[in-house]
Parts: sequence; structure tokens; C-alpha cells
Amino acid sequence: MGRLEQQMLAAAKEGASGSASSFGAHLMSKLTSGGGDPKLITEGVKQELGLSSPEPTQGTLIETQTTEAPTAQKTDTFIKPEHGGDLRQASAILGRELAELNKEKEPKPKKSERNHDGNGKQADRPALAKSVGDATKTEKQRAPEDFAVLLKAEKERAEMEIADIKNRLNEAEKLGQADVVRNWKIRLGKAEDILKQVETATLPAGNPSSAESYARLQNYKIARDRQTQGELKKLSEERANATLSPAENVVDLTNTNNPANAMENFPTPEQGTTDDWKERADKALEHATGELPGKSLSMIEQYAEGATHIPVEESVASDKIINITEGDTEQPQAQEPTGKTPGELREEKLRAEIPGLIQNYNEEKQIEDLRMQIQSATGFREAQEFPEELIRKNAENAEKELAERIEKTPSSLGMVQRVAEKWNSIPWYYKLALSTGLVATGVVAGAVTPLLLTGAALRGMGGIGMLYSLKAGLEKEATKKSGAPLTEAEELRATVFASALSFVVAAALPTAFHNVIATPLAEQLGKMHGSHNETSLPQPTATIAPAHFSLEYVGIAETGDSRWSIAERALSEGPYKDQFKLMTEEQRTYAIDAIKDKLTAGMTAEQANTLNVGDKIDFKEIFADKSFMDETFSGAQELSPEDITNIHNYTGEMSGTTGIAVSNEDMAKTSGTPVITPETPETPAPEQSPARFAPNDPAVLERVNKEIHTDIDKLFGGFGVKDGMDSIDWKDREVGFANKAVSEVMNARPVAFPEDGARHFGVEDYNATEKMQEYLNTVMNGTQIPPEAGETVKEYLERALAIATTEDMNEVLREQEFFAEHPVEDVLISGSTENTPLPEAVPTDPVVIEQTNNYIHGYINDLFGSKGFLGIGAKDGMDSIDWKDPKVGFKNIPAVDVMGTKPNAFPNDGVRRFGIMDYGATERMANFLKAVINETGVKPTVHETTENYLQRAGAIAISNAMNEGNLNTSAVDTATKITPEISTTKIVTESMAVESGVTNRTEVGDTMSGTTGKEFLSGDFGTKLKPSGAGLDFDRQMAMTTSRSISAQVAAYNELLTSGKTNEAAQHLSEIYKIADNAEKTLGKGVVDRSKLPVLK
Amino acid sequence: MNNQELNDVLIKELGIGGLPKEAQEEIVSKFGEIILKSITVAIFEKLSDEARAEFERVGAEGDPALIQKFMEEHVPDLSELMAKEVKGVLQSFTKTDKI
Repeated sequence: MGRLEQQMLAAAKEGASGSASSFGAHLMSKLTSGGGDPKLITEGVKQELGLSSPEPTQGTLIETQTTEAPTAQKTDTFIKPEHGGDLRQASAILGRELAELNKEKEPKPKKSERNHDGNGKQADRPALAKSVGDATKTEKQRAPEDFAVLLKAEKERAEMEIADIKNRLNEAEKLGQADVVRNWKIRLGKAEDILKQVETATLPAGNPSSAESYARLQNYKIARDRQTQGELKKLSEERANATLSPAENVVDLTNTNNPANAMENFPTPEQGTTDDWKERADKALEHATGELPGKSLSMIEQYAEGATHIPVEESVASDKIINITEGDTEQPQAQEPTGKTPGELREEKLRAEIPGLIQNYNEEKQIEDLRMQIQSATGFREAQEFPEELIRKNAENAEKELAERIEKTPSSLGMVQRVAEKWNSIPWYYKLALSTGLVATGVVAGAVTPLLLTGAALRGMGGIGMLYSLKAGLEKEATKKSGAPLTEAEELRATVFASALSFVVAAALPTAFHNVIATPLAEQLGKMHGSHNETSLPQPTATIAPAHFSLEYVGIAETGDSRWSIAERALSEGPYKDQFKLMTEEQRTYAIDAIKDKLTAGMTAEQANTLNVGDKIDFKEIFADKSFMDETFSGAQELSPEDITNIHNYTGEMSGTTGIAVSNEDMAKTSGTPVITPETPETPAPEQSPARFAPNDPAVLERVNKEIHTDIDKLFGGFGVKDGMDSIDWKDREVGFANKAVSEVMNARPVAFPEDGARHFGVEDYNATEKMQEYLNTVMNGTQIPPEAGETVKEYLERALAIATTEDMNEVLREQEFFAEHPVEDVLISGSTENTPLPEAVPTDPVVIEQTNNYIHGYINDLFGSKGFLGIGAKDGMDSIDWKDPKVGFKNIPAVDVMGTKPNAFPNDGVRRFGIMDYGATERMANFLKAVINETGVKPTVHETTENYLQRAGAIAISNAMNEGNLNTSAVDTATKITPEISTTKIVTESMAVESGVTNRTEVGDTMSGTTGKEFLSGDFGTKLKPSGAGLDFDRQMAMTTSRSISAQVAAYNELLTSGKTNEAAQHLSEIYKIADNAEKTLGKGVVDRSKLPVLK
Repeated sequence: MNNQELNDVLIKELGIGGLPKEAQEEIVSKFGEIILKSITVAIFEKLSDEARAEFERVGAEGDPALIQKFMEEHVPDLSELMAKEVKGVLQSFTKTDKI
């Protein structure tokens, strides 16, 4: 039985029962009189009415039917939902439909009876008007009765709900569940308000209608329920936010694809993996969702959907559910007719019908309102279609107008650029959702719009924490104006506006992304638009160009082409060329590979590898697949360092997995049959290009991140902090150095002994600030890169070290290339690095050998090493290219070659050289060797390597000294005298020591040695400090540096004392103790052997 | 009203119903981008020089509470401002006198 038939029967039966409208009675009469339209009296209708014969006998069944109780109806089909409206509307609709059907059956009116339209309706109108009038009249008459029934039911429901809530509230109070108590109190308030509303509800005097009045009551309930949900949600959000905040960082970081950023915030192993964090975020979201009443699908539930786009259908479904209160979802079920009064049946029917009617009415009204408001806002009454050219022109003009505004507010330029940049990085459907949402809520303030944005969109745009905060501000603004609780429309508007705003703010975050990753991007933007200085106006980053409207691109294979190269061409020349231009090499590779895979999807290997010159590849379908293209570009934006490394490793493979175009000639040359190119391209692998590292190169970033991590750990780790990167000194939002401007840190002067006696951290702590300042000085001096205005410490370190590291790595590359072309043998006077037998025996005493090696280590370190700050950034000279490089390092170069070689001091190519190829290094090494020869009298053999010679000469000298009984004086003197100009330790001769009053000769010897770094340390300093880890042992390094510093100060002190400059000497003595004190304070251990320190006489 | 209906209304009122779907999407995307950029500029226009610098700083810190506080203090009529920008861009896109 069709819906119309059901409706018709329902109305008819209701009329027959005597309690429905006269329209229903009229209808029943028509159906059973035998005069009804056969089209209406179908078999289904007959069965329902109990009409046994095909053509009912007039009058026989009327009495029977009128004495029977009405059959229960399927209330949900009573009114076509799409028609909307209340019962009067429904009656009118039904009446019209019946009239249309009857019109077909009834004889055509005579010509004289027709109206001027000639439609034959004139005769029908009075009857129709009467029907509708009757229906309306009946509705009005029975309205008070209906309404009383409804109110009674509503009151009972509200009272039951209040009683239930109070019980639960009491239970929660007994259990001391504060959060739960707050939730129930909020719900109690709502229930009491609704009860009050029910108790005071009245029918409107002018046009009483139970449906309208009930609808108003329902609307009130919906609004109040909304408000309650908002309050409850806020409570949940507050609780969830604490957990969400760190998780959000991780989620956002995955979007920025910034290893530098990831490093800072990436959870340590103790804190869990990224997946753990995501899981925690999701759980927090679920927790928040679970707190919501009524199981309605609200916004926060959509957040929990994560990165998956919620299909439109689901969104619609959730919207519909949102509009129904908890009670309303309990639709009354069809009841057996027995025992039901007509009033009760009507109540059931009304309950079932009204929410749907209201919802449909509202939805249609919303659409109409939206149309009207947009038309009103845009100044034209009817929507019209514009030519594509006009729209494009309008878009360009809008951009121009915006550019003019930016010109007047140049400080907005940076953020506007970042907004555009971020906008272009998000998937298409998010753009659509936000665009549409902004219009719907921005233009139509009063319309109730569905929630358009999914959780992933919001998360990607600005983060949930940001969204909630901004939404709260916007809601507060709206509340201030109206003074009334927010309507659903206002709340949704705040949500959409907050989404847009959080997107804008998120784009403002000047993380290292902008400093390192985005630098090439900015440069490219500048190139694209002619300039990239600060005052240049931004241009649309994805200008609507004709190419964008035509997503067609056909690639034609040329000789040597592969599907890979054609895909690359399609991206670089086709409709996505703007986006493609802005990508890094790795991102481009990712995108090309994705397109190539799409091209070959479904192909056999043979097909994929077959490509002939002239073959055409149509990209339109791929480019028109917005989802795929968005995923491709988004995926490219989110490459992890590992991905990038893999891309580097496998670029060759990826580019070679598809067929390479072969001309017909080539084909003929081979076999005459279609050429199938092999899986691996036959073309030779491309030669190593003179690639250079860039600051955003993952290898560079990885190295920089590690370096920063290591240094910060050394500075602020220890003392209960497992990782210095997690220390308050470094990462605290208020005082941590990471987010402080470099200038602020350098100018900070925290007091050493704060009055409050409390422990301070970061920029408020004397020691931490001093360390950070010294470290920053080291970086500034070492890199020669000054910080920029406003640049934070973290940003500066990332930028400066990335640039410096890039230079270092490129130097090594250049050096390798240079020496590949210039064999080192060409510059050697000996012509060979082959060693020769030693002319004299080398002492084998292990003590001698050890001492010799220690000295050599110290000298080479002085020559080619770098001390850094507190060991940070220190480079051991023995590990330098100058010393140990297998080709140019002095270690393996014959000493005579070193002394006889004169590299060009001013090479024209500007390439930095090392070792024997470098003028300065060679000169230093040669001078040192000459000094060794002079002091030891031991000469190198022709092919004796520098290392071997130094070991031999040093061992002989020390051995001789030992044999002469002058181990602690002559030997040391001999060893130290040979390079007085390069030793960091002042040479203190025995006589000086004696004159200075340092009487203990052993002490003098140790003092003078000055190279081992242990001379002023206690014998057990090593055991006092932490055992060495895998890398440099910071504590040990610091202790040894301290010893060397003391050594230098002692030397100066002795020298001044010898010269009679007692006061100046006293200053150095003071410095000696200060160095010792500071080091021990930092290390937390007494490592200096104070008995070895001089005492001022 | 569901997303599709809303989208349909927007496309119709923008006068791009007759264009290919790709073009429609492109225009709606551009439309959203200009709105967001306009909102950004509008916020800056409301701020003093000092407040602009502070906005950058506060934004850089990424603290939602600070940003909210800043907005409340410096852009108290944020909703109106945003609605105005949306309306303005909508008008720009539906002008009929420039071709």
C-alpha cells in the first residue's frame, strides 16, 4: 500500500471514528460510497476497509466501519516529510492531491462553467476550500484538548526526569564524584526549566493550534538541551584539554613535517612513541565524548574521527540527530487499538509527527533563508550564472583589493602569506567545508547550519585547544551582546569562525619550519612574483588561471621518456604547476611517484614497461580526481625524515620502474617487434651530480638536531633531568630558553642569589642563563651567523647550525671532488707515501710510548682541533680532516713532504682545502715538524709519515730524558719547548717554577706538562664522575678543560710573580680558584686536586 | 540542511552552477582562501603597531588562552569583523560590472 493510500485511510478512519475532522469523514464517505475514484480504492484500501467485492455496494459498509475502532496507524508515514508544515498543511496537501485525482475522474465542466484559465478548476475550488476550512476549524476546536493531553504527558516526563536526576545526583554526592555531580546539576537545571516551561505553556489566543504550541515547546526543549550540552561539553573539554595539549603538539608536528620541531617535542622513550601519543589523544577525545549526554553526535565526536574525512551522509545523519532531544528519540511505538482513547491515539500520532514536521520545516526554511541572505548580501535578488571569465576576473579583483589593504598594513604580509601557504596545503574537502561554513554562518546569522568541519580538518587547521579557546571567546562575545543563552545558530557560528581563526593563528606560528624548511619556499615565491623582499605584496599562491579550469594535460612520449618523466612534465607544466613549483625535490619525487603509480595502476608489468615514442598519456582523469591529488600533495607535505632518506636512496629505482620510450627506428633495430623495456632502465645510471647539501636537507637537519640535542643535554641534563631537552631550563613556556628571543637571553641578568630563596630556572636562573649565554656566544662566534631580530634561541640554533653544518658538509664534498681530480702525490716532493724502515730503534717502553702519544695528541689537537665551549662543539684535532684524511691528512703524508710543500695560499676557485693541500695547515704542520727536529735532533726519513716520525722522535727524546733521570723536567721541557708558539699552556721552566716558590718538583712537572688535561685533577676524578657513554663524556671533558684552564692561569700567575707583579699575579690566583670552584659546582663533585694549586706568598 | 545542500546553495549563489565541477571547486577554494586572508588583514587593521607585534608574538607562542585574551582585548567585535569580511568577499565575487 502506498503512502498516499495510508494517509488517506488514516484520515478517513479518523473521520469515521467521530473524533477527527469532517474532512476525514467526508473522505471515508467517498471511499465507501462506491462513488470514489477507482484509482483510490485499490486492493490494499479495500482490505483495510473490509470491502469484499471489487466494487463495494453503496452504503453497505458505512455503518460497519463507523462502529469499529480505528486501526492503529503507522504514524511515521502519515505526512510526507518532504512537504513539511503542520497538520493543517498536511490536510491541505492531502486535499489537493485528492482533488487532483478526482478531477481526472469527474466529467469535464461545461464550457460555461470553466474559469478564464480554462483549467476546469473553477468548479472544484469551493469544495476544496470547504474541506480545508473544515480541517482548520476542527483543528482549532480540538486544539485545547490536544494541548492539554500533550502538556500532561510532558509534565509527567519532566517530573520523572527530575526525580531520576536527583537520585543520581544524590548517589554521586555520596560517592564524592565532584565532576559527575556538576554534570547532573547542569542537567537538573535543564529539566527544571523545561518543567517550568511546560507548566506555564499556553495556547496562543489569536490562532490556537496545538501543533504550533507544541512545536514551540519542543523548540524550547531543543534549545535548552543544546545549552546543557554546551555546558557539559565545556566541563569535559576542560578535563580533556590537559591531556590534549601535548598530544596536539605531536599531531600538529606530523603535519609540519619538521624534524627539528619533532625533535624538541618528540616524546622520549620513557614518554612513549608518537603512536602512543596519538592514542592518548584519541582516548582523551573519547573521554570527552563519553561525557556528553544523550549520545548525540556532536562536534567533539567528529573530532575523534581523526584524520578520516567524514562523508557527507554521516554528517547529515549526525545533524539530524542533534536536532532531537533525548526524549524525542524515544518514538512512541504503534499501539494496539484496544484500550486507547481517541485522545491518546492522537497524542501518539502528534508525538510521532511533530518533530519530523518541525525539522523538515526548519531545514527548508534554512535553505531559503540562506539563499535570501546571500542574495541580500550580494545585492541581487535572483541567483544568476556568471561566465567563467567574469568569476575569474572577480577573483583577481578581490585579490587586488586585498593587496591594496596589505600595502597599507604591511605588517600583515607575513601572516597573510603563511595563511595562503597553509591553505594550499590542506585537502580540498576541508577547504570546501570551511568556505561553505564561513558563508553559511557569516552571512546568515540566524540560520541553523550543520556542522561542516570534521575533526581532522579542525585539527589540521589550528588544533583543538586553539579552536576551543577561540570559540569560547566568540561565544562570550555573542553572549555579551544578547545577554541571553546562545542559540544553536550562534554556537555553530562561533565554531566555524573559531575554525577559521584558529587556522589563521596556526599559520602564524613561526616555527623552524619557516626558518629552515620554508626558506627555499619563500625564495621560490619571490622568484615567481619578481621579488621577495619584505614589502612586496603577496600574490595569490594558487591563482585561478585558465589552466586551473582545464585540468587537461596530455603527455606525449619522446625518445628517452618514461612514464616517470612524463608524469614529472605533467606536474611541472600542467594545472598543478604552481603547487609543484613550491615543493622540495623530495616532495616532487613523492608526487611524481604517486602519479606514476596511478598511471600504471591496473596495468600488467609488460604494459607498464612499454612506451613508444609518440604515445599519449592523458592526465585529465588523474588531475580531476581531487581527493587523489589532495592526498598526493598532502602526503608530500608530510614526509618524515625517514621517508626523505628513502626517497634519496631509491630515487633511481622509482624513476626507472616504468617503460622508457623507444622510437620506431630503435624498435626496428632491435627485433622488429614492439620493444618492451626492461624493469631496470638500460640507460646508464646518472653520474653523481655535483650535489650540494642545503640547510633543509634531511641529512643536515638530522645532524643539526642531534647536535643541538647533545649540546642542550650537556648544558641542562643531569641532576635528575634525564634529557636536557626536557628540562625546565630549556622547554618551559615561561622561562625556558627554547622559546625566548636570543636578545632576551643575552641581555638577561638574573641575580645569583634571589631574594625569595627559591630555585629558579631558565632565563630567571643565574647559572643556567650564564651557560646559555656562553653557548650562544660560542655558536655565534663559531658560525659567524648573528641572530635575527625576535628569533628565538631554538630557531636561531636550528638556523645557524643548519647553515654552518651545510657549509661543513659541502666542504667535504668539494674536497672529495677536488682531490678526485688532483692526486695528492702530484704535490709531494717525495712522490710517494710509502714508508721506509726507521734509521734507529724506537723505544718500546710502554710508559714512553704512552707519554709520547699523549704529547702528540695534545699538539695535534692544538694545531687542528677546536675547544668549543665547555667541551660543547669541541673537535679533536686527531679527528680532523687535516690530520687523518687518508688522502690529504698529514698523518700519512711523509714529514719531508710536509716541510717541502707550499700549497697555493690564494687559490682562485675559492674551494676550501685541507691538510697538505691547504696553505695554512701545511705551514703550521711544517713549522711544528721543524721544531721537533730542532729540539730532538731526530730527523725524518724520506718516506717516513708524519705520524711515525713524531712517534719516533718523541719517544727517543723522552726515553733519553728518562735515561738521564730528568723525566719530569728535561723530558717535559724538551717536549714542551718544541712548539712553544702553539701550545695553549704557557711553558713554565724549572727555573721559573723554582723562582715562583712552587717547591714541589713533581707539582712543577705536572704544572708544566699542561697538555694531558689531568694535571690538576685528583687521582680518582675519573671514578667520581659518571662513566663514559657512547659519545663524549661531558663531565670528563669539562674536568679536563678545567685542568687545562688552571694550568694556563698557573703559568700566567708564575710569570707575573717572577716579574714582581704581585697584584696582577694575585688576580690570576683568584681566577684559578674561581675556575676550580665553578667547575666543581657544575659537576657536583670535587675533582680538582687543590694541593697542587699554588699559594700566593 | 546538509553539507551538500549548503554547498549547492553557495555554488548557485556564487553564480558558478553552470561551470564544470572542477572549476566550481577551484573557485570555492579560492573564495575561502581570500576570506581567510581578508580576515587576517582585517585583524591587523584593527591593531595598533604595538598590538600587531604582540599579535605575532602571541601567535608564535601558540598559547590558546593568550590568543583568546589578546583577541578579546584588541578585537572585541571579532564576529562582526569576520562576518563583514565574508560578506565583502562574497560581494566581490558576485559583481557583475567587471568583465
